[in-house]
Amino acid sequence: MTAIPAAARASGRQFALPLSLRLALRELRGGIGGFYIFIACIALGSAAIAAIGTLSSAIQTSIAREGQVLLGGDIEASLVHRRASDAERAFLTRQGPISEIATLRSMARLADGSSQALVLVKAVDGVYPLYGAVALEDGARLTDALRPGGAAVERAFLEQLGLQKGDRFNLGDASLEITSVIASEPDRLSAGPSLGPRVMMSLETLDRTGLSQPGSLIDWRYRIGQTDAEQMAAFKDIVARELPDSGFQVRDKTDPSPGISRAIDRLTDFLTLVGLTALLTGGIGVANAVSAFIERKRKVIAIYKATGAPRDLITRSFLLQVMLLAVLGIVIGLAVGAVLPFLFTALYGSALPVRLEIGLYPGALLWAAAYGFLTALIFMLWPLGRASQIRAGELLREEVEGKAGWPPPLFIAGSVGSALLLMLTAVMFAQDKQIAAITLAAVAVTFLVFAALGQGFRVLAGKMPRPRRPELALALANIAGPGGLTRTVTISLGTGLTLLTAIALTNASLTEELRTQIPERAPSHFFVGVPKTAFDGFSDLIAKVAPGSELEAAPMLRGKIVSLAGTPAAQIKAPPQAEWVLNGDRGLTFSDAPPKESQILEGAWWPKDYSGVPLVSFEGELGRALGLKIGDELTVNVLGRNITAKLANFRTVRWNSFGINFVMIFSSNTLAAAPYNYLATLTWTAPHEDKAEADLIRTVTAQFPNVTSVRVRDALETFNSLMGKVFAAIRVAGGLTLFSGVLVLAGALATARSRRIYEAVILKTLGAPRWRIVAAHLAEHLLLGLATAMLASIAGAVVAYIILTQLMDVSFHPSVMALLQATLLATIFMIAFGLFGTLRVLGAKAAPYLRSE
Amino acid sequence: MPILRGVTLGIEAGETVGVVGPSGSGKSTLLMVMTGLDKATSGVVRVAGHDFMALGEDALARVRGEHIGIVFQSFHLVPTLTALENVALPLEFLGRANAADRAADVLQSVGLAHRLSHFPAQLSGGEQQRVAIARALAPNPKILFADEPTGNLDVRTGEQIMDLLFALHKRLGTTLVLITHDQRLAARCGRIVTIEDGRVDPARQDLESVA
Repeated sequence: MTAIPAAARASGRQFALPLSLRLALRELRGGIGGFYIFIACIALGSAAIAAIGTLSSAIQTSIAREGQVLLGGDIEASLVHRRASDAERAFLTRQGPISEIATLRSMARLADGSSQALVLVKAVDGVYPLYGAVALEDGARLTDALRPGGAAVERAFLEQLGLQKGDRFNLGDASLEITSVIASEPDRLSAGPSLGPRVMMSLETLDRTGLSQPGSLIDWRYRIGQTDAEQMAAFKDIVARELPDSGFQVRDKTDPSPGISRAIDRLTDFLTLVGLTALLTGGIGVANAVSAFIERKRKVIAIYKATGAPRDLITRSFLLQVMLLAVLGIVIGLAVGAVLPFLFTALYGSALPVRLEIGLYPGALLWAAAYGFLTALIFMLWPLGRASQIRAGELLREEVEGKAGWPPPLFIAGSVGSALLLMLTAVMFAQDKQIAAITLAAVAVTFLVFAALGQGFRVLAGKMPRPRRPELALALANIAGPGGLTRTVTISLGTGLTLLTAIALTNASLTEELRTQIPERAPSHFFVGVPKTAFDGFSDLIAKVAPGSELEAAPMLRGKIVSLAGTPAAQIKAPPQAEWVLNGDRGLTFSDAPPKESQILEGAWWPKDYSGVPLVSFEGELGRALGLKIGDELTVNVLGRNITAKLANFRTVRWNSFGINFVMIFSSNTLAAAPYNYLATLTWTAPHEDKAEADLIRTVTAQFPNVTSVRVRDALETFNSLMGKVFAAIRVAGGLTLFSGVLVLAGALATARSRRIYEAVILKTLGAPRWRIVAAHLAEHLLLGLATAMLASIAGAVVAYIILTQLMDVSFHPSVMALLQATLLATIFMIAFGLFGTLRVLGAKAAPYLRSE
Repeated sequence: MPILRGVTLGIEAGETVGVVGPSGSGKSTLLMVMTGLDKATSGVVRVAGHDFMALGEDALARVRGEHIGIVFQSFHLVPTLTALENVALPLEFLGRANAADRAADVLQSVGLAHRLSHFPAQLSGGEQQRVAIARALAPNPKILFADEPTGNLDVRTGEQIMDLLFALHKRLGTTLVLITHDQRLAARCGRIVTIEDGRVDPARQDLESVA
């Protein structure tokens, strides 16, 4: 036997890459048709996660970068209720240049007493600001504007009281002149969100107002210039060592606003989870695309086998192909995700408290890439595994679609393993692991529920008696038949609609709660800083001006927790829901009797006129979350003194009553000697006019200029508008899931197109007019869409119910609009897609489909 | 339901055998069993010294790659690969280093030296079948199975393809098993095997080859 001779020449024809990669690249050379949806699904989810991560990193980085200016110093040490003593001040001055400021809430009144406004007062020394500059609208110098008796105010203040520059207003016991209008204040962010406009003055002017009294709620802040990083880091320890009882609360420029940082972290977490839901929904599109791809490649796979390719080589090469496409999708997603924040900054940058410097944040992109890759693996491995089951014998026999059996165990393991890894990663790196785990579990359950619905719907459609109208019969046959869209529609559309319904219902319930429920049971006003010596006069006045009202009051001081059961607060690793108790200072009160609405959960309340060791009652859930046990010692710092009390009992607190609620209530002998003020609430028990409220505030403010009154409705309105913004962001992220589902649907419809055309051609051959075919398709799509929407509404309501009642402790208020939204969207999508698909089907030529190969 | 029943068939190295029979007689199934693309439920299948009944799927693929070439009625070229790459494919599966050069040589020997970088869709039916033959012969197989190789071609092209197959057989000495329903084509083989209703009819083997 002689072989065909190899020509003795060096042609340079070399195949350098590994065979599996070579095969993959050759296949891809034919184009990526059929993979656009696959790529889009992965790109969309990755883009969302990358954009959220980049934006959040940019905000955090910008805050940290401008930390010095935002904080107003390198370090801030603050006290509540009291000014630093001479010794403390001397200590602070040794650390570097210092600036002293005082912040408080108060009521500014018109000179004639006709109107008043809640304002945020900031009194500063001559050094302020240590970093950055206050810009005044008229370009004046701050020191000139803050001359004794003068105040610089925000424009909102002028608008609220109808004042102009040069006018006068009353604050406390003083009459002040508006000397200038503040254009920007460098350290505004560190004050956190506020209910009123800023009124800035000198410390000397604050003295004139008489607002600074023992026990009044003033934060004294000492900003220190200390650029040495080591010194800065060591500051907290030095304070703890040298001034152990001072009660200084310390923060530095690396995290100038811990509250805002925490809020951003939480929101990032949550939006990332929603983005991940979009990515996972897109996963269905990935699985569909890979299945269709393997179906298209059956013959090629059989040829490979017939020409001697081993099974693992084939699967490896196809895995590589799909992986390369997934990487393409991820790269597109990351590119979009990295660019979107620029767009966001261009549109909304001016509304943010810091100048955002968007850049490349590799960490954020890496996360998005990892999530994209794992999602691709979860959904591609299963259908890819079927490639290895295709037999070479198919080349000789026309085999119909292969039976959809289980893929080889390795592929199942890979798919399940990727899913577990994804869940583990998402939960491990979330701030609130419990919420992350619940969310992912909910997504998984939703997938399963809608997969089951799809199956159930198929079975049901198959068992229904055949309708007399042929269009309906065709629609039912398509829903029940093999290779139909049923399950894809239910899963892809169902997940997105469930999420949107849940978001809409949660939003509606919270809005309802804030707009009508809370105002009904909450008091209508809070009065802060009623002096204990003047309390009787205050309550007499209320009884006179607001006869149809109820006044409740409690002594209040602020203090911070120093240690719990001997462990310093800084070393306590609190669970997320209880962290806030340890952050910053808390309101403290004392009482002989437990609050009316509280129940004692464990331990016992102290007897009236108790005079033993100081005792404290702690809110039960929080106390247990912080690891406290009855009998433990708890130390708080109040007015520069450490007070240790023994935990006597755990009690319930109805937080959503929005009344006077304290985490800690001490036995009277603990705090009664301190210079405290009263916190009071007023609830109207009889119907009243708005004018009565205005009169009340005016009278109280005129007679008790040191008392700050906050209208609960205003506070709720402020909160509601903030919540509206947060929900807008959540809704956009949630909308992505629906969009992802729509992409999946579009992909599935495209895959089914040639089968649909074939079917339509046969129907036409049999004499069906076009309207019948259109009607059959519409009926099928509508039936599917409506059934999915109905279940999505129910599932969304269940999810919202759980979120509201179990996680947020808010009652569930069903909203018809929120519930109907799913149905409406599903109907629109299904009709749009159905019609578009059907028109393309009807436009196709019959001949090529009827001629055999 | 068994498709092949009690088939006993021996083919010597270098032989040319035509397997004929009406549609549904079991020709294709016999080919699948002989090429290891499908397994017989019972019996003995030995090809090129290998016991096919004892081999797994990947081992069969390997034996096919080394010893068996198959030419199909509808060519079955990979549409996304060029002629050269299609022919190089089995060589690459065998891990041959000079796959591309070897593929070019084989394509030259079937008269397609000028079509190396063309894709199947850019080739005529006859050219596609030549590529398929080149692909089947590239690894120097011991046996070449051709399943209705002219079935999708016009008469003249079909004849050219048959001429090529027999010329290559003469030149290389490869065993040739031709599956066809066309008695005239089968007559060009050294021996004819008739299969009917899943059985080989021994009485009609040599008789028809003489006729």
